[in-house]
Amino acid sequence: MLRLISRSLLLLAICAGLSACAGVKPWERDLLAKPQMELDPHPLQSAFDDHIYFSKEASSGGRGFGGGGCGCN
Amino acid sequence: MQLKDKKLGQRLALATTALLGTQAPEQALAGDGDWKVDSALLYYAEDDDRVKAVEPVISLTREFEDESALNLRIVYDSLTGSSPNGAAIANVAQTFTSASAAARLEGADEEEQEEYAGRGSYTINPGDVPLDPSFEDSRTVLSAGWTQPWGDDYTLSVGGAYSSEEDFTSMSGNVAIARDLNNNNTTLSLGVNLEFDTIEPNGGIPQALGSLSEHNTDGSDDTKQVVDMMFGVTQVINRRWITQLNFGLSQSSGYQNDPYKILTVVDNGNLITDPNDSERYLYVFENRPEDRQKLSLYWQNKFAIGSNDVIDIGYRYMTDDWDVNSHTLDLTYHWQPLEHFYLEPHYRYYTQTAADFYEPFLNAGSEVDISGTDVTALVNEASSDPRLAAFSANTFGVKAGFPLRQDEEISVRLEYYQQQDDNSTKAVGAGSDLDGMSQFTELKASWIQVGYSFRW
Repeated sequence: MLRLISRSLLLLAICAGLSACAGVKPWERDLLAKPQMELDPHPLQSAFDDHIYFSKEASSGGRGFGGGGCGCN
Repeated sequence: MQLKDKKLGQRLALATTALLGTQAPEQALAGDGDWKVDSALLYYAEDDDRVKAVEPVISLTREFEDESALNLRIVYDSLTGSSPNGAAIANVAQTFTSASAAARLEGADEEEQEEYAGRGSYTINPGDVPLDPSFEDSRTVLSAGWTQPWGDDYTLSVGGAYSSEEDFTSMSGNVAIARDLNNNNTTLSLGVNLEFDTIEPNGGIPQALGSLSEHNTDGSDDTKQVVDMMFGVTQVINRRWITQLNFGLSQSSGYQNDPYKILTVVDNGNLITDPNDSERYLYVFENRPEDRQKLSLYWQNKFAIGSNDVIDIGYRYMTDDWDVNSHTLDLTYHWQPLEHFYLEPHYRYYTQTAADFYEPFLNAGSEVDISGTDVTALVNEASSDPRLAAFSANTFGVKAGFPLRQDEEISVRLEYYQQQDDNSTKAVGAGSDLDGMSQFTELKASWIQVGYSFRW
C-alpha cells in the first residue's frame, strides 16, 4: 500500500515537473480540442461497460466512482 | 481560436470533475438555449443461455450562459436468463429449490403461479453448470448533476442518483471540486461520493452459511453504505498528449453477500445427502465480510496521431482487503479517415486474484461440521461466486461512428468478452462426484450498442 502511494506521488511529481517546462499555448490546442481527444469521449458507452464489468468482476471504478446502483454483488 | 481555448479549459476542468461525479465532460459543452440529447440502446447476451439484458439510456444536457451545466439521465435495464447458483459442477444430477422462485410463488396471482410453478425447483444434469433459471429483474436508474464555475480557476459539481430493482434500492450523492493551474494545462480535482443501499431479497436475508433446505432467515432486509473518495490530476503534456492520474479510496460497510448464492458441501469430493431433506444434497448459503476497503490507481493517456487519429491507453491497478488484486489494460485506436466516418478498434485485458474467502465448495469435517441434523460452518466467510475467483479476461471490440454534423452522430459498437480460469484446483477424492469436473465456469459474453446523439 505504501509503495503504491509513493509511486503515485512520484508520478504526480513527474506530471507537475513536465507541466512546469512544457506549457501548451492556447494557439497550440487545435488537436487537444478535438472531441476524440476528450478523456471520456463516449460517456454512455463507458457507463454501459463499467456496469457490465462491475457485474462480472471484483473490481470497479478508477476512471470515476464505480459500481453502485446494482444488487448484483 | 480563443473560443476553442476557452472550451478546452472548460473541458479540462470538467473532465476531472465530471469523471469524479456522474456527469460526462463533453456533455457540459452543449451550446446555450438547447438540449444535447445522447441516447443509446445496449443488448447484452452471455453464452449458454445465461443472462440477457436490454438496456436503453437517454441523457439530456443543457449549458447556461454562466457556463454552468445541468445533466439528467435515465437508464432502464431488463434482465432475464439463468445465473450460476454457486453450487459445484458434479457428475451426478442435482435438484435445487430456487429461493427466489419459491418466494415469488407465495401469494402470487394465477398468472404468476403459472409462470413460476416450473421454476420452484430445477434439476441440473450431470456435468452441467448449476444455473438458477428464475433470474429475472429490471432496474431503473435516475441521475442528475449540476456543474458550476466558481471564480476563475475552480469548478464545482454536485450530483445524485437513485436506482431501483425488485429487491434492491440504491441512493447516492456526490460533490467534487476542480482547480485549474498553469494556464489550464493542469487540473487538480477532489471528489466524494456517498451511497446508501437497501437489499430486500425474495425469501428474506438467508442465515449466513446456513443450509439451503432449512432456509433460516435473519430478517427481511439489510443495508450497505459506501464512501468513495477520489483525487485526480489531469495534465496537458504537449500539443499531442494529455494524461490523467486518479487515486481512489473506497470503504464499503454492511451487507455484502449475494443472498441467492450457495456452496456445495462435500465429503472427499462426494455430494452429501442433506440431513434435513433426504431428497436433496447439502448446500449452504454464502457469507462475506461486512467491510471492504478498496484502493485504485487509474492512469489514462491520449495521444493525437496525425490530424484526426488518437491512441487511448488506460491502466488501472486495484487492491482491496479481501485480497483481490487486479490489473486492467485498455487500448483504443480512433481511426478517422473521413470527416463523417471513424472506426475504433478496442482491446481490454483484465486479471484478478481470488478473494481470500473464495471456495469453489466446502469440505465436511474441516470447513463444515455435520452432527445429526445440525449443520455448522467452521469458517467465518465463504463464497463460490465466480466474480471473486482468480481469472483473466480479454475483450475485443470495434465501433463505427458517423458524425453527421456538430453534436450529431450515429454509432454502432460490438464487444466480445471471454474469461480464463486462473484458479488452482481444490483437491477432491479420486473417482468422487466432483472428480474431473471444472471448478470455475469461464464466462463468454457479447454486446452490441447503437447510439444516436443530437440537439433538441
